[in-house]
Parts: sequence; C-alpha cells; structure tokens
Amino acid sequence: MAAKRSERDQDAQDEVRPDSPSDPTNERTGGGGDVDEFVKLFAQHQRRVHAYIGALLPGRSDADDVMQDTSMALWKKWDQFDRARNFLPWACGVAYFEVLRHRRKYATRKVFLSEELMETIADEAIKRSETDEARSAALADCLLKLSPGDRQLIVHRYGAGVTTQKTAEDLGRPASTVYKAMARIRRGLLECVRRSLARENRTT
Amino acid sequence: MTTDQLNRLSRCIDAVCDDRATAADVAEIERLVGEDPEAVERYLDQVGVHTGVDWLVTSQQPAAPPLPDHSFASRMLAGRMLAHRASGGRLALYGLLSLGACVALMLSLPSRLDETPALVTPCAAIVSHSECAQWVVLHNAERPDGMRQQLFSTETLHLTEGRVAMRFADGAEVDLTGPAVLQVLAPDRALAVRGRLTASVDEDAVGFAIDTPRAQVVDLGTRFGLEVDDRGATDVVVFEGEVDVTYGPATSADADWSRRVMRMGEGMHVDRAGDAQRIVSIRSERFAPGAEGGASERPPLISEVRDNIRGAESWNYYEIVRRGMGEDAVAYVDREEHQWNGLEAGGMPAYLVGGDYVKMFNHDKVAADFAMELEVAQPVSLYVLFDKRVPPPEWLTTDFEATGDEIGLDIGPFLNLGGTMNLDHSAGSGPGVSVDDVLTVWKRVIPHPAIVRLGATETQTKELNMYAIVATPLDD
Repeated sequence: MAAKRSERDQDAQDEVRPDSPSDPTNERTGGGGDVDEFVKLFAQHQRRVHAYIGALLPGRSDADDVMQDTSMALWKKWDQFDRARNFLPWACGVAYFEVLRHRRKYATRKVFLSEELMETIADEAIKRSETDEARSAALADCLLKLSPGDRQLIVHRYGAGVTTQKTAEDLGRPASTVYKAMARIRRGLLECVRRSLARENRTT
Repeated sequence: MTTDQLNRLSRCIDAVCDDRATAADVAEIERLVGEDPEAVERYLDQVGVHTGVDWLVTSQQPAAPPLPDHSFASRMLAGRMLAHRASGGRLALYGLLSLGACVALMLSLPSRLDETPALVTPCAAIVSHSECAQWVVLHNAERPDGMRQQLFSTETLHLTEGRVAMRFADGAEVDLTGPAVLQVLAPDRALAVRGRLTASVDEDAVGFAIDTPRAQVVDLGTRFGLEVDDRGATDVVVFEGEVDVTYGPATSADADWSRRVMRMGEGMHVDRAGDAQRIVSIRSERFAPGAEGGASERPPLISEVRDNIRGAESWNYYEIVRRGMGEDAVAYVDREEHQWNGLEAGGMPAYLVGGDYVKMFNHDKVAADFAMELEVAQPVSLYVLFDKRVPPPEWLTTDFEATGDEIGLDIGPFLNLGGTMNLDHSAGSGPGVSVDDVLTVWKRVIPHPAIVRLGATETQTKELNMYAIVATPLDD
C-alpha cells in the first residue's frame, strides 16, 4: 500500500512543464500528432476514468467537477507520460489526487468517504478495471430490459442530471417513494449484470 | 457478510449515490468494510451501476460556455449552466441501443439551440446522434472536456472512432465519420481539420461554410460530402444543389484563391499544393453514414470508372453504388428523380436486383466522342441498359448479347440544360408505375478482373437516355 501511495505522490508532484502540448486547433501547421495520441487514449479510457472517480465521489456534481479537473491535469502532464506505460493506471493516479484535492476543498461543507476508505476503494477499483468493459456492455443491455416506468425514472434522474430529490419534486411524488424506487431499480440492474457476466463466463 | 450487514451496507451506499448520505452512513460503510473485505466488492458493484448508468444515459461531461479562465467567477458561471441543465430543459434520453460491442446513444434534442439562459453563451452546435463513437471535445489548448454533446464556438471535436451527427445552430446538419477533427468556428461555420463528413443544408441555413486547410466550401442549399486528409488535401462532392468552393495553396491569402460553383454530380479534389482536379468516380458508401461496413460484405465488383472527358471540360463524377440496383434506384448523378423500375408490377429482371451499378451522366447521351473504362474487380455478369428508341451501337452488339429483357425508367421532374425545371413527368413509386422510357438489357460475362471499354450512344437524336451499367457476381 505504501509503495502505491508513493507512486501516486510522485505522479501528483511532478512539476508541470511550461511547454504544454501545441494548440489542438492549430493543426494546419502539422502540430497534431501529439494531440492525436492524447485524444485517442483519453477518448478510449475516459469512461473508465469517470467510473474510477465516481467510485470515490458518487455524487454527480463532485464526479463531474473532478473529471473536468482530471482532464486538464492529464493534458498538462501529457508531456511527462511514459508511453511505455498503460494510460489507465496513470490517468487514475492523476485522478486520485484530484479527488483528494476536491475532498479537502469541500470537506467542511459535504460528507465524503474518509481518505483511508478512498484509498482502499481506489486500489480495488484499479484491480477490477480489466472486467470493466464487460460490465458496461452488460449494464447497457440490462438498461434496455427495464420496464417503461423504470426507464422513465432513470432517464429523468440521470439524463437530466438532477438529484433523486429533484426527480421526486418534478414528478410530484414523495421523495421516499422515489428513493426506494431508485434503489430497487439499481439493485435490479446489478442482479441483471451479475447474471449476464455469469452467463458469459459459462460460455467462454 | 450477514444478510443484516448486507442490507445496512446497501442502504448506506444508496444514500451515497442519492446525495443524501450522512456522516453516520459513511461511518457505517467504513465499519462494515473494516469488518469484511467483501464489503468493498459490494460497494464497487453497487456504485458501479450508479456511475455506469450515469455515463450511459448522459455519455457526456457537463457543457460549459467558453470561459476566459478558471477563476471562481467562471466556475460559478459554469455552475449556473449545470443548474440550467438540472432544470431539465436541455437533454433527455429517449432510448438506448446496444450494438454488439458498442453502445449507440440516441438523444432527443432541444427544439431550439438557443434555449440557454441569457447569462451564458448559446452553444453553436450539438452532437445529436452517435454510433459506436468515441470523442473528446477540446475547449481550448488547455482543456479537454470529454464526450459532451454541446459545442461552443472555437471548440474542437476530436472523433477517434465511430460516427456522430451534429446539428449547427443555424440549422445545418453534419455527419462526421471518425477519425476526424472538426472545429466549430461559429453557429454557421466549421473548420474541417481532417476526416470525412457530409453536410445537409436547407433553405434556412444557406451560407453555412466549412473551411479546410486548402479550401472553403459555402453551401448554397444542398447536400455535399467533404474529405480532408492529414496534409490538408480536400475532396468536395456535391450530391444535391450547389456549393461555392474557393481553393488554393496555404501559402497564399484567401483573396487570391480560385473560385468555382460546383453543382449536383460534380466533384473536386484540391491537392496539397492547392491545385484542383476532377474527381472521376466515387463509391456510394464513401459518404454514406455507417454504410461502409455493411456494404463490404461483398467486395466491390466495379472498382473504378474513367472516361475521356477532360478536367477542364467537366467536373462530373460517376457514382458506383454497391448492391444498390433495385426498384426506384436513382439512375443518374445529374438527375434527381430519374429512377429504375420494372415495366410491369412484377418488377425489373430479378438478376439485376442487388447488383452494383454505375450512376452515369444523362448529359453524356449525345456526346459523340464519349468513351469510358470500367475496372471490373471480380468475375461478373456485366449488363448494359440501352435506350430502346435508338439503334444499339456497334460496340454493344459486338461485345454484348441481347437478353430480350427490358427495364423501365421513371423520369419525374428534372432540371433542363437551360436551368429550368421540366415538370412534364411526375414521379411514381414501385414497379410498373409512371414508367416513361424503356431500355433493353444487354449482357456480357467477364470471367476475370479486367478493364472493359464502352463507347458512345452514337446517335444524333436527343430523345434518349444515357445507357446504364450493372454488374452482378458471376456465381450468383
């Protein structure tokens, strides 16, 4: 555990060089190669980085803010990225420290997981990242199996980017009812994902 | 974990996901995790569904207006934007489609792109649909923003794979196929850095412009395709209507560039030096969104078409339509409504259906010195459809065999050479309906890949249509 923290510390403390990558919109001058490589890797892994941040900061606005900060930090540090390494662990390492910064900044105003628990979850989340694609594909299929009413609730809650409390207000339903419904739907989706992954394991 | 522990843990995780967790809830999670490492697994499973649904449903990062810096005030402004989204006005998902390994998200769009509050800058374009797409929006040189749908002026969309459909605030629709880079310059203007796109512009959006490193295309109400390579060379292909193209070398001022109005059926290649040449032929799937993969189940039967019309005389291109022959297939690149149909309700000769065909130029029907070459890539049965009103030329009777079958042409309204609309013919739908002209079917077997030469119609009358070419696999 200590060694991992040390690696993250090193990543986070690397000084940002002043010569950040060339302007991505100025590719008439041929400066796009470096940008392309970053964008390709970032596009490929952004969902998993988002999931990693979301595991530590499940609140939507917190995760969005930190994802934004992480994107900028990755871009600034891109010149320092060792291309022989995997992008995802590096990106998650950068994200981890953005999560900590965010937590410390808002610690007096919001309830967050403790830093110790965050570290435990972060380590486990990285270990699970190999199966992440299969989970995501299964979840997408499971979403399609929701009843129209449950799907409408999910769309309102997540698609409009509102809290469950606000969803209840919008729908004119008691908050407790909507909280229960959301919990039931997410639990059902989790069971569906597990069944799907188990089926997949049996057939492979 | 006991059932009781599991239930307590699950309730606390739900509270965290719903932004209502108390310090006691978090303490309970920590206590349960401390007691049983399996609790971490449970936590990640449950939160993973929450974050995964969030990603799949929105598939975006929060859109922010172009901000000069990342000051507190700027973040407050972005926060207001988020708050507006929170009011539910901007995005609502109506469906999810799972397409094998990828997920296509179909999003309903705000009816008006300017539905943002006055405080913030309205977005210039939105991603209205995506298929198997991964992209990153670069807000500026320091800020990548991930897969969000709204784009503001000066932001750049890097599409690494898949396809996205974009709607600009002025009404223009752009289909972008990855890998591609497109910078949104304004609600009616974009810079195609590289990649392939089609743009559709209705009357309200006339004037929509796309810049490339070597050309500028201003839409005059049309649909056109555009492809830019890594060095800035640009292909422009007009499918409907007209576009105004200026082009030239990157080293000269735009004012010194050449200019040309390109019309339906015309294509231009502007090379890396800024010089323009005719595009002689294109394959139909090149600019058809999502069609490239599907059509490729069978290799192309005709790989290239050339003619003896010089670039200085014509900018016309041939379109090779893979598997496209069938009822109501558009017959010519320079006639919007001319369609192939069977003479009777039973349909056209069955062996033609599903064949690759070449959309020719009906204007070439009276070109006495016309000649063309087809590169036939596979063993095929090659068919020529020739207007029944005129005698077949010698090259046709010598090299091809009359099948005895016939096919119809439903003309519909079309643009006369003088630029006026000919409305004498109405368009029908399906076989045996509104068929105006009759063509006979001629066949030649090409057992190996070869170059096949065809000639002119060799007639003085203008009362005919240009011949057509269809190829079907020899083993069918």
